[in-house]
Amino acid sequence: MSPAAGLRLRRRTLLASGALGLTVTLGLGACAIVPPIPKRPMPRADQALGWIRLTHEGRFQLWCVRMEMGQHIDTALRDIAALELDVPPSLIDVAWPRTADVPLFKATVGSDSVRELLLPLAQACATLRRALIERASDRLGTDAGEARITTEGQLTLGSRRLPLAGLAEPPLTLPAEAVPPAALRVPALLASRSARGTQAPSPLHDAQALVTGTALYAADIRLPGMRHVTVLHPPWRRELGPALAGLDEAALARVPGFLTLLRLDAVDGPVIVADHPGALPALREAARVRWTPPPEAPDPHAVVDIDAALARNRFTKDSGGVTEGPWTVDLRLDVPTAAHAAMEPRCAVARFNADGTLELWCGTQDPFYMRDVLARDHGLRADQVLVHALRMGGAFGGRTVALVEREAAFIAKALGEPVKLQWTREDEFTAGFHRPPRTACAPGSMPRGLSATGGTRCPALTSSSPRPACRAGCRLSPTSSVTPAPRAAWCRPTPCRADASRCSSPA
Amino acid sequence: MSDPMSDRMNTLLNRQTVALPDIQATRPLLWWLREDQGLTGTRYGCGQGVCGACTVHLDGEPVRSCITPCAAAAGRRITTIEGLSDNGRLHAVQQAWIDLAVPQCGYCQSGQLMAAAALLVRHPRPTDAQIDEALAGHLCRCGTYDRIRAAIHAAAATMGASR
Repeated sequence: MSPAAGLRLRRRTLLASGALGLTVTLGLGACAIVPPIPKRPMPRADQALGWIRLTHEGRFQLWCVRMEMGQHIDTALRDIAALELDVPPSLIDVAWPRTADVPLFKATVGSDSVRELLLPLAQACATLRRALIERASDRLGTDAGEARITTEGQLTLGSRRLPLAGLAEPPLTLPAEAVPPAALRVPALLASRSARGTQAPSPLHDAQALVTGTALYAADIRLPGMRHVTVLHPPWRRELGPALAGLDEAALARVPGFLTLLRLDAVDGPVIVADHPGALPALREAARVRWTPPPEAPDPHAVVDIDAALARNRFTKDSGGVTEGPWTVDLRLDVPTAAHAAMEPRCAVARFNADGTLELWCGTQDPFYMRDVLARDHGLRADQVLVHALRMGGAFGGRTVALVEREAAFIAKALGEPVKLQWTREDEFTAGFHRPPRTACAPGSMPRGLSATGGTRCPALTSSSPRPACRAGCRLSPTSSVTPAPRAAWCRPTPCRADASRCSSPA
Repeated sequence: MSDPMSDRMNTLLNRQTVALPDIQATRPLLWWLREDQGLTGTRYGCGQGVCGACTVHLDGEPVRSCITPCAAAAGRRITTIEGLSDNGRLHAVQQAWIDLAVPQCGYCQSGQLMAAAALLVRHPRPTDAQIDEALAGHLCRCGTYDRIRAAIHAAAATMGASR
């Protein structure tokens, strides 16, 4: 692959304009694909009315419309709902919806969940609370006294009370008009907590399940008649053209538990089908799969060679101008390919039902994207694909695309039986997508007015440095160009040879 | 059968005698626990004995079930995360994990808890160095290590106070 084909670089005249930083980043066919995150509308208050409801048991059920991958968004949303409803958190059950249960919601990425969900969720809870009080007032024939919901699930009005369970029927019709933010309880309560600064963390919603082993991940799903499968992935991306040189089918047949071997156009490698997951390690070993390397695989280090990019004036990013400052800095960061490396190897369970619909159980940051991809793959309408999204054993941005999920669905269709496909750790590294390697070069000067003694973080220097470098905590100091923080061993600062005139230390 | 030691084809799994099928003898213990016994709290992480997510106790000692053949468990006691609590009463490490909000994604935590429980048998008041040594090789991608260490100290204090 030529560098031009592998790179999507914008031509800029960095040095001529004295720009502050530049980055060479690319998608390498050999080791990385970077997924597009589908654009989705922001969550709205009218949608949020479907996230919270009172059950016949007198409890509240909250759909968690962000996926759980270790950030405890379920606990955060439960607490927001509890504050606005003015009920104990223990009265709220949190669950993750299937794609048929709620309107489409955004992928779970970064840390935007509370920022985007707090207002519409609080508005929905305020609307529900008002409706419940109104119904209670009607049934009790009084609106006197302060309304309160007790830990035991009673709604009290003054000295009179009703069980919440009795208020669930008939179903409440909630007005679509959103409660004004100024009328909400949550913002003031959270501000008060924050001001005190001593608020104990809320008990985790799922702590008991997590410490007793009962928390449910995709690999824990079991279906009647389910087969266990594994894919022998090539060590290079399929687009590069690795060829299957052979595998030992006779040896496979001798391993107890082996059922069949599939070769599917839609799946990157041969598929081994077994009757027990315990057979799969021995089957993978027995297969002794052999691949012929692709004719031309790119050298990732050559492609991100920033000196070569500088010579060609081809970069992915450049920004800013070098301003006058008390001291100059020079920063070069070489960031290697980074695997997301979640603890849970990705897994999917797929089943085609007799009516032609497809059900999928998986851990994904974006269940609706998964639904749409599978619908497209199999010529189904979106409502014919039902995704049961489960908690993830880590994601880190690595579970936004359909990988194991597509494979599981194609295999289930070919077999005509439900399948569970859990990638091995080897699969994670060979068939997952990774953060591509990159090099950033940021010559510049420290703006006047910033303290030279305490150092400042990379973003203060430039917005074009790659974020991973900044997360590693590289700090600038007045005595050296870059002082890497401890434990950032991969953050390898070297003077920027491309523009030695700007460097505070010789190249 | 009350004594699994009297029959090499049995094992004492979470205080219950269970037969080990011959076909599973050479297969990793992990998959028998998860698939045949429904004890899915023991997690598959690497399949190489490197990450620690699959840790269970064999006669009280932590082992990596992804590389331990079922045959190795014959006639011995297996304890999984589901058997760490006793009659619904959480083990001190489990309670400390809850109190200090240790888990994040949670996937590694079964293994971490099993390693911690075994450590506290060997060292009822472990030092930081002993904790680090015992839990080396138990990977947590979320980075809960500091809270794990604090929770082990808390559990040790609880267990010490109850003796």
